[in-house]
Amino acid sequence: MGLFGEIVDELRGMSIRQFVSQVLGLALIVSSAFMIWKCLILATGSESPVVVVLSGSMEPAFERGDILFLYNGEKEVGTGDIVVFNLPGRDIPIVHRVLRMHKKSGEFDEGQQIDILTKGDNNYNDDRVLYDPGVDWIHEENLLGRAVGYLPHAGMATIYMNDYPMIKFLLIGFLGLLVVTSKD
Amino acid sequence: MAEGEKGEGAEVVEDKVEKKVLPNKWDMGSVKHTLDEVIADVVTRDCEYPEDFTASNVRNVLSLLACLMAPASHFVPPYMEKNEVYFLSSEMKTSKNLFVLACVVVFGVNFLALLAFQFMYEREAILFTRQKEGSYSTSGLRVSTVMNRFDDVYKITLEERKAGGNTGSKEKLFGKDPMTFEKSVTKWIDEDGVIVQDVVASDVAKFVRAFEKSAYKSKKSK
Repeated sequence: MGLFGEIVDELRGMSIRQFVSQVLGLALIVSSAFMIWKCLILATGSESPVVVVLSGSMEPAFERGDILFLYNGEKEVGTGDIVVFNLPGRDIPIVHRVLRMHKKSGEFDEGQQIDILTKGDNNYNDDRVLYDPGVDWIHEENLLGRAVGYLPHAGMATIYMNDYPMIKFLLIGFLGLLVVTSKD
Repeated sequence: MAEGEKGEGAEVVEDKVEKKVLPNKWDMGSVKHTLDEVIADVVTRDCEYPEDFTASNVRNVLSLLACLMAPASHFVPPYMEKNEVYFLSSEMKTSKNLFVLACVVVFGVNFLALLAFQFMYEREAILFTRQKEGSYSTSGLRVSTVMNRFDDVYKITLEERKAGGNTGSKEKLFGKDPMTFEKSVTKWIDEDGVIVQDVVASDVAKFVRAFEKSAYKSKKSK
């Protein structure tokens, strides 16, 4: 409790101007990280350029806790590519391999329509069980991107924070307090 | 512990005037930072120089503008999509991307401006003041401090400045040379790590008075 008492004393001793300066300093650091993230989104063309593998459905290629780097560029997706996609209505992205594709030439203005079927390497069935009932194929809009790189086990921290959400709040709150009351 | 209690009681009464100032005496950065605060206090309170907040305001405004770009880049694109607001392009997807790019650019510009301001204008200054009321020999001050790493010598530099803004026209510079004052911090901190504020205050006040009295720069022939 001594540390907490120190922090409270520190806060009380500051003038409003100093407090605002410290808060802005912290906000600037957080904003910088956020803006770098936005730049990454713009550069890769993917809404979520870095994802963590949450399940073991792609073993032995990817294990739970690996970090994947995605790229969603102009190049067309091909069969055998590892893609990350979102199913409508569900916000957890799924990392599986493209099993089958159908390309349909659309009408004059529409361009190609591509149907994609995916399957996890470690799964017995293809992903039709995951898709919405009646939906047999997903399309390019569902894709977040192709996996172009990975860091093994680097995402375990995210998995812990997902399983125990309190950790996130405690960590950020504590770091925030430390920064605001630091002498720099 | 009677002594402890007495000490606490005395602190509460004195708290308004003499806060116990206790930096981490082993951390040079913290020592310098605390001394900077004490000295700024002495110059503004004891020597009665009004503080000039322009530099601080500039920094805060730049930081605030930069920080506002983060929520803007996150919350405005969905709004754009819902209300079909276009930005520089007739296609919604490109429009949103261009907007995010614009936010990033504005953020970068503000951030770099902030760095440039701190690096080129503020440098080592810890305090800017305006001219003391009724002063006839000194304009506002720019107080800078330097304490090298692993060195115990603390150096204060006093320079004249013309305060920015509306008061600029009334104040004139008196052509004083900047003056420096060096002292080892070992003379200002006692063995418990507490800064002896009386000694600091008297040293600094003496230095400021010496600066006020200092002669004008000799006019060089043009």
